[in-house]
Amino acid sequence: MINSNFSANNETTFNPTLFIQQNLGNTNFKNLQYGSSQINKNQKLSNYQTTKQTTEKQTDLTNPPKLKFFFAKALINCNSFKQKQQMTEKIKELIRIATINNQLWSIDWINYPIPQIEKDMKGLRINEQNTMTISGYGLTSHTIQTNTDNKQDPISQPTFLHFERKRNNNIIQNSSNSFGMNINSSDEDYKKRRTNPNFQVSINKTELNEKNNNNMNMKNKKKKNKKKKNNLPNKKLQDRAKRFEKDTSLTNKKLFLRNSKTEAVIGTSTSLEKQYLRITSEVNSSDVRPYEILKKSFQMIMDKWNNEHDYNYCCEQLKSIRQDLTVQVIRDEFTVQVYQTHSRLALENGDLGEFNQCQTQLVELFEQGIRPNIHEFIAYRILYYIVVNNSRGVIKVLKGLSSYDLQEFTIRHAIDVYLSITSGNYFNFFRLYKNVPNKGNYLMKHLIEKQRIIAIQNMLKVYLPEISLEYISKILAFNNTENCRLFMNKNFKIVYSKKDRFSIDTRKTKLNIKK
Amino acid sequence: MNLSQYFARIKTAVSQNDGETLAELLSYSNYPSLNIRIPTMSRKPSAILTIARKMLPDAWAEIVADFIISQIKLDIFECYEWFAKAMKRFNIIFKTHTNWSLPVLFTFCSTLLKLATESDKEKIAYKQKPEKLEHARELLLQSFKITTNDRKSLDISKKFGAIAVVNSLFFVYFKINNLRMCKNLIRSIETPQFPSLDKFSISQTVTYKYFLGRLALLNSEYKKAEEHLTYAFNNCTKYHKKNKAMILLYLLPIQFLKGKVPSKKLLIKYPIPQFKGIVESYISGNVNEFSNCIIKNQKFFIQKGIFLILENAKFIVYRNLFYRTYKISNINKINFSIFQKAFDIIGVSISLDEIECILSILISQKKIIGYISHKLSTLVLKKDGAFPKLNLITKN
Repeated sequence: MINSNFSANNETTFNPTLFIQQNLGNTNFKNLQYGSSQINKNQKLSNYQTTKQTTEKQTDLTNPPKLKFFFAKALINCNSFKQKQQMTEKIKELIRIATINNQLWSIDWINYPIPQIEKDMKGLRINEQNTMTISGYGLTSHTIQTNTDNKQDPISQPTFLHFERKRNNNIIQNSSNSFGMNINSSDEDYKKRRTNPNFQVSINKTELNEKNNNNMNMKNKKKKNKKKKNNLPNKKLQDRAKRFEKDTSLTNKKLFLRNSKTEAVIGTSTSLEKQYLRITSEVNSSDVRPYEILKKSFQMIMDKWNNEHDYNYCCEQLKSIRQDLTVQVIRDEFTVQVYQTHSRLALENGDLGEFNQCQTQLVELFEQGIRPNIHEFIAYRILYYIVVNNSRGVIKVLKGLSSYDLQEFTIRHAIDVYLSITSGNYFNFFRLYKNVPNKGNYLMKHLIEKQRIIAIQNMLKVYLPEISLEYISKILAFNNTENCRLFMNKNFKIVYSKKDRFSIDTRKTKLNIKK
Repeated sequence: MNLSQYFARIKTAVSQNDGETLAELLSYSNYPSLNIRIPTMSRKPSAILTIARKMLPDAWAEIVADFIISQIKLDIFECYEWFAKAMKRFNIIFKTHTNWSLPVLFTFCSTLLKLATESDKEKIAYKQKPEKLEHARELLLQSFKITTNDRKSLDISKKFGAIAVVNSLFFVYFKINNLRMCKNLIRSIETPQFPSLDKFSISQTVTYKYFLGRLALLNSEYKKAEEHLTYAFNNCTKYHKKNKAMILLYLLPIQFLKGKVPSKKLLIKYPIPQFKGIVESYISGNVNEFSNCIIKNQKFFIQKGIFLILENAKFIVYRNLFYRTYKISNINKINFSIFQKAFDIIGVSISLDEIECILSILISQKKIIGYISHKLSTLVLKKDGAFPKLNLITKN
């Protein structure tokens, strides 16, 4: 019966202007200006109205309205679906006990203590992600609706506020979605409702599914509708709304602070050495070393490196220095120095992962205007992208360079390396390999084997009838002919020409296909 | 025309579902010519809205009011913000329309882009973070979803608005340098349910193909890129000289790789100043000049994403030089030292080893047919057809 009523209602055309005239005839201009949001609300309203009419006869109240507030209040502090589920369970239990003891109406639900549940960090993060994606795309009709509901213009807000407000909406919405009918619904239903922008449809579904169990919720809904229809919002309702606003903005503020790097710690530790541990909890200032100590510590590590060459030790120590710098939001020449030293060390020891981590930080630091050795490190970045075969990355770097930068020797060198690889110009590549500025050769090292194989394959195709090992070793920058022979033996099935063991028959020599 | 006359015209257009007229009335470029007089008294946003509400159905009143305010405002940021509001409201009622209001969507899209790019330029000039294009992207994606998700029959389908919106989105993505997102757009257009491209207006398809070509170029899919860009160039009307020149900018480098050279006439008709010197040196095989030309406009070519392809075209320039030397010497066993002399003439000092390397690459790519005898340091060419036509060579 209810279902048929709904569909009929959907078919009848709705006249927004009429509605506004009827409902908002006396309201001031401010309300009128945001008419579109009113339309949305009214549209829902009109639907509710009809439901109300059909089910009016069943209006014996089994649940106090205050319980509804209590439930909403409890849910507003839940950040994840898991928490909500737990909370719902607890409240169900409370209600059950209250009904058994016949206290359902006598308990002052508004001031009733909210049951405690475990706060899980995971849940927090999940929720953040959800809101992040929504604010990032801002596309689902869900968000469109909430935006119009809000009286502020989103564009005029700075991005941070924009983001936060959306999160507000989201939380409120989630709670309002669930507080009406979440008690008996399953996970799947919950998800559907969450993603389903069409509110009335989901109500419809739950009502059909849980007609028997969910009587109480239906009645709550009806009450709510009544209030809405009269357009005389209860003072309590307003209070509640206010309270929610406060609550959510507070929690959001906390979240934001924790996420951002504005919360600078000033360290008090004085130890020069520190084991690197990934930060998982709040930073304790006694574990963090202040700026001066860090400088001393850095000096000590560099001395140790020069004497002992223990990369693992130095890497760990540098990492912990980097961590302390990040925690204390120190971003100056010294920070750049630490990162650059660490990148160079990582390069020398073939630790590309660590090198890349330092690079990404350095890019940010360069963007802030702290730019010592910038050309050297841009060149490294280009070479790194070549090594990991990311030509889009190379182009992206190139796009960010000025015409002055493009002519700078180290950068020009890196660009030439890139061009020589894309065009297959092996002569040029190995010439560049022989004259690498700075520590670029540690990166180019990774490219060499592949380029050599490509070049030799090329030569075998083109030269007739033979080619001398000496020439190959000269062009492809081998130390000596024997090294070249070893390399050839490893990768090719060599057939020597009849004369001697220094020229190779180009037709018969083939690439070794072991793999 | 005064304000109420203007509203009256909009009202008739809305009531008759006349999208074309409505689009003309709500177009950014037409607005000055409409010459709407608004008394200073009612220049406030609220005042305009009240007047609009008296005359127009509610949803449209807001859109039109926001539009007019965006035209009145002098500050470009405010212009954009008010216009974005109008667009947002339009998106909401656009959902309920059939496709009659598509012309309005088209003008709105282009206006949005114009205002967003302008205000972002301004922001960059003030050294602030540009963000309006990013914001425009969100609005456009809303419209995109509405158009592509329309399930109504084709004759009233809003799907016919999709290409225009996609073009605008391409524009934004290229500007904000976020090309990964383009793939999704293309995918949704290439579904079989989507009406075929020839049912769209030619201007929209040309723009769409232009962007597809540029994307393919960036992915080094030269064959695909050439197809798309050639289509765009051939179908773009001759009255849009600037657009044609823009297409040529991307098309010509691909043609260089294939050994095709544009005629002088073409370049006079659609001039590309950055290509000055490149074409001549390409034909004559003057590698030195060619490299200098690239370096001179290096920044420009990198920004446009054709730097790499031009650098690769350098090998064809080498080939042209070798070809000329071969023609002059007229023997098919050429010592490298002869090539060295040729390089000398154009002012490049080059080692024999490098010449050997360049030759070996060209031979392995089958752009020259022959082989190298290292012992004699000689290039041995095939008797006839040692330099085959480049566009016949099938290379990936």
